[in-house]
Amino acid sequence: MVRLVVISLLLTGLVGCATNDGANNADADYGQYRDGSEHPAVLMLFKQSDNAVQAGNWSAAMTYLDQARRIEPRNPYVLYRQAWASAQSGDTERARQLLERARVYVNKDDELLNYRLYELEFQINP
Amino acid sequence: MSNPPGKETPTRRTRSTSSKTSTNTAPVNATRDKKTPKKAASKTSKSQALEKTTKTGPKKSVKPKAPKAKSTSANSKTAKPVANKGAAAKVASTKKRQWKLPLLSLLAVFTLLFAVWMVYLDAEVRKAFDGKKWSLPAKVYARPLTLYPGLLLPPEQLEAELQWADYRPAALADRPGTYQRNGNEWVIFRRGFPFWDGSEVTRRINLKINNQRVSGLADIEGNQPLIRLEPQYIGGIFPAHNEDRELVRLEDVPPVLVAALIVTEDKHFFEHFGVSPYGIARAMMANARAGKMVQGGSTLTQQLVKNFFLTNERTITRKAQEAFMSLLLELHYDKEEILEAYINEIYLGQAGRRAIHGFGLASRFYFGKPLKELNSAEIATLVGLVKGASFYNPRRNPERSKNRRDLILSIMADNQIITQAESLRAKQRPLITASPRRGGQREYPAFLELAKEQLQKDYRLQDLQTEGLRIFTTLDPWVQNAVENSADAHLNRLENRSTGLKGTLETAAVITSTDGGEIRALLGARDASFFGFNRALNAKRAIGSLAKPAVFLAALRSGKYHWGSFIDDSPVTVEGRNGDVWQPRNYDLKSNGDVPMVDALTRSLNQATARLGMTVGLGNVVDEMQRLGVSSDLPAYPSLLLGAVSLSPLEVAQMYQTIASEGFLMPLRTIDAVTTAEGDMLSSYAIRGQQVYDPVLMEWLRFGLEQVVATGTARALNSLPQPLAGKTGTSDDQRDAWFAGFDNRHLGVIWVGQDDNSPMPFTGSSGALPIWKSTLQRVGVEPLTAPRTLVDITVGDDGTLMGDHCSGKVYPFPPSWLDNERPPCNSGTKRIGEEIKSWFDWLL
Repeated sequence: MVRLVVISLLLTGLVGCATNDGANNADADYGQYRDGSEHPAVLMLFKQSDNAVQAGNWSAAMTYLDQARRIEPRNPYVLYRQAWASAQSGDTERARQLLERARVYVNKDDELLNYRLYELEFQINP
Repeated sequence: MSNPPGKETPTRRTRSTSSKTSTNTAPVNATRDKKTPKKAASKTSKSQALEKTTKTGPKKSVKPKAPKAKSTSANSKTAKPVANKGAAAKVASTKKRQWKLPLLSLLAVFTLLFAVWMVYLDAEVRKAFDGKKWSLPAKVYARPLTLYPGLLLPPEQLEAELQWADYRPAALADRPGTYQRNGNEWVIFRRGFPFWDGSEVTRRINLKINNQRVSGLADIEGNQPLIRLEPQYIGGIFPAHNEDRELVRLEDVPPVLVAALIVTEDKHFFEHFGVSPYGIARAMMANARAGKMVQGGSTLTQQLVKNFFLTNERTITRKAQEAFMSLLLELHYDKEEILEAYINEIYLGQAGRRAIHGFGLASRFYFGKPLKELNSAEIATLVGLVKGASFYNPRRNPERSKNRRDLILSIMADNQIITQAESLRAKQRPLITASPRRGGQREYPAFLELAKEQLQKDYRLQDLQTEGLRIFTTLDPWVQNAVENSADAHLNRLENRSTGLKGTLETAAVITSTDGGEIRALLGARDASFFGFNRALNAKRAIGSLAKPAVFLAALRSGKYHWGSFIDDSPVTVEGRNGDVWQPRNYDLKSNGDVPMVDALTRSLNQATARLGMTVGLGNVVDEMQRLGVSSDLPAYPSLLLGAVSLSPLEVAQMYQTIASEGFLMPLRTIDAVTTAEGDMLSSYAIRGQQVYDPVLMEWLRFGLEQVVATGTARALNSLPQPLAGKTGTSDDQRDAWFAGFDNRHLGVIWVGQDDNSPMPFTGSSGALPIWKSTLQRVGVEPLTAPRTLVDITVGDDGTLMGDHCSGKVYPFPPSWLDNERPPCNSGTKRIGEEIKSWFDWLL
C-alpha cells in the first residue's frame, strides 16, 4: 500500500517534469525524495544545491553536487542528482553518462531510486 | 627623496610605449648619454655667443669685422662713411630680420611639435591610467581543504596545510590567519575567501581529530557539517614579463605604511604638482657635496611614471618626458589615485621567474600575511625595499636590510608616525621573513603546465595572462608533497646503491582520485620546481608489463577464460610477416609449464601472457587498450602484448583510471572552476565520463591486480592495509621501471628511468613501487572495498569449474558464470589448445 502511494506520488512528479520548466521541477522533485545519504556534509551540499536550483543557477548546483560526490563518490543518489541537474540544464550527454554511473552503484532493491533513474532516462530519451 | 642609482626595476618589461627603448639597447644608449650633457653644453655656449654677437651688432658696425665676401661693399662704405651709416643700419636691420624670421619660424615649429608631443603624452597617460592599469595574471589555487566529520586527516597534514596557507600558530587564535592546537583539539581562525561558489567570511573553527579522522567540527554557531579552509596559491599564468601583483585599495593599506612611504620617498608628495623643484635642488646640492650621485630628486609621481610608462634609461629626453608626464598625471588624477597606483606598481622583489610588484604581494611574499596584518618593523622593511629591492632584500642581504629598516623606523619616529618607544621596540625585533620555499609561495610547474593546457581549450592564453582570472584546481598539496618527498628520497637511495648512477635518475608521477579522475599530484621531474621538460606529459617510454592487464582483460571478456584457467608458460615463438621471429622470455629465464591465469599475471610471466594474447587476438588486446583510454597509436605487433609500446605516465594513468573506476572512462582533469577577478563563476568542471565497461568485468579484472599486490611482483605492498591493486612494469633491458596501483581513494602511476634511455640495475618492483608505497603511506591508505557483484566458484586442478561442494580452488566470477554447466566433481573439461607456430595462425 505504502509503495503504491509512493509510486503514485512519483508519477505525479513525472507529469510535472513533462509540463514544467526545470526550476519548477526542482520544487516538485526534491521536496518528496529522501536524500540517500546520512552524511551531514552531503546533506548540507544537497541543500545548497537545491537552493542554487531554485535560483536557476545550474552551474552552481552542479559544483555543490560535485563536492558531495567527492565525499561519497559511489553514492548513487549523488550521481542521480548530478544527472538530473545536467538534464535540466540541457547537458543531456552528461546526464546520460551520470545516469549510467548511478546505475553502477544503485542497489537493486532500492525501488525508489531505480524508478527515479528510469524516470530520468525517459526524460532524456523520451 | 629617492636615490636613483639604488633604484631597481625588473629586467624584463613589456608594457611598451612608443618612447621605450629595449633593454638590449640600453648599454649603447647609456654610453651615448654620457656624452650628451657635454654636447648640450657646447651647443648652449655657442648659441649664447651667437646671441651676444647679434645683440651687439649695431655697435660693432663702427668697426665691422665684415665677412670677406662682402669686402666690395665694405670698401664703398669706407669711401662714403656718413652716407653709408644709414645704409649700414638698414643692412643690420635687414640682417636682424633675416635672423628673426627663421628663428621665429623655428620657434613656431618647435612650439607646434611640443604641443603635438604634449597631446600625445597626455593621450598616453590617460589611456594607460583610465582603464585597467595592469595585466593581471590568472591566480591558480589548489583544492581547498574541505573539513567534515569522518574526513581522514592526519594532524601533521592539517598542520602542514595551515602553514602552507600562511597560518601562524598562536597561543590564542584570536585573529584571522592564526591557529592554536591543544592535543587533539584545534582552533583555526579562518580568513575570508572568495570561493568559486561564493565568498565566505572569516570564521573561528573548533576542530577535533581522533584516530586521524575529524571527529568534531564547530564554529560559534554550533556544530557544522562542512567547512572549507581557503586554498593554497600554487602559481600564476603570467604574461611574458612575468609580473605578478596582488592589487590593494588605498583604504586597505595600513596608514602607517602610507605615511612611512611618503616621508621616506617624497615628503612633499601632497604639496607638489608632480615635479618638486625643491626636491631637485636638494638632491643637486647633496650630490654636489658628495661629488657623486647620492640622492635623486624624483617625486613619487615621477617614480610611478618611470615604472609605469617608461624604461630605466637615463637620458635627458627620458627625464623630460618623465617630468611632463608627471605634470599631466597630476593634472588629471588626484593624489590618492596616484598613490594607490604607486603602491600597486612598485617593484619589490623577484621569486624565480616571477617579479613581485606592489606592497600587497610583497607582504605575502616576504612575511606570509596580508598587508593589513603587518607590524611596524615589517612595514619599515618593505618601505626600505623601494630604494633597491635586490640590494635590500631581507633574505639575501639581511644585515643591509635591517640597517635600512632601522633607518626608516627612525624616520617614522622623527615624523611622529610611530612613537620613539615603538620605534625602539621595532628595532629590537629580528628580521624574520617567511620561507620563500613554503607551500604558499612555491610553484608547481608540472601541474601548472597541464592546467594551462587544459584551460586553453576554453580560454584564450591572453585572457589567462591578463584578466586576473582565478583558477581553482584539483591539486592536493599534501599528496603532491608526499610524492615529491617519496620520489626524492627513493631516487637518492637507488643512486647510492649502484655505482655510476649518481644524478642520472629521473622520475615522473601522476596521482589521481580513484573515482573522479581529478589529478591530485603531478611530478614532471625529480626537481619538482623545474620549469622544463615535463616527463609526466611528454616522456613517452616503453610501458613493459603495465600493458599486460589489457591482455587478461581481453581474455576475461572473451568468455573463454577465468582466473583459474590454465595457460601454458612454455617458450613461445611467433614468426612475423617478414620472417622476424619473436621469442619472449620470462624475467628469470625459466619456464613454468601450465599455470593458472592469475599466476601468469601476478608473476608477470611473459611467455604465458604472450601466448594468451596471441590466442585471444592482438586486435582484441589493442581494442581493450583503446577502450581503456589510450589514444596514442598502438601498432598491432606481438611485442605490444608485453608492453613494447611507448606511453607517457599521464596516458598510463588514463588507462588504469578506467580500471580503478570500474569502467568509467573520464578525461583526467586539473580544473574545478574558473571565476573572474571579482569572483563571478565563469566555468565549473564537474565529473564527466562514459561507462565503457561493465563494472562486473572491471571488478573481475581488479581481482587479478589485487593478487599482484597480495602475492605477486608487488607483494612489497602487502604490509599495507589490503586489498590494494597494482601492476609492476619493466621495459626491455630495464630501461624503464613502472608501477601503477590504486587504493580506494588514489590511483598512482610512477615512472623511473634515465633521460638517455640507459639500462638500470632495477625493475618496476624495486625502482618505482617504493615511491608509490611511500606516497600512499604518507597520505594514508584506504583499502579497496569488497567486490559488490562477484560470486565464488570452485575451480578444479585442471581449470574446470566445479560444483559447489567439490574440492578445488575458489575464484571470483561474474554471477553470469553460475549459469554455466558445472560437471560433477573431478570430471575435467577440455582445455584450450596451444602450440601455434605463426601469429597469422592466431589471427585466423
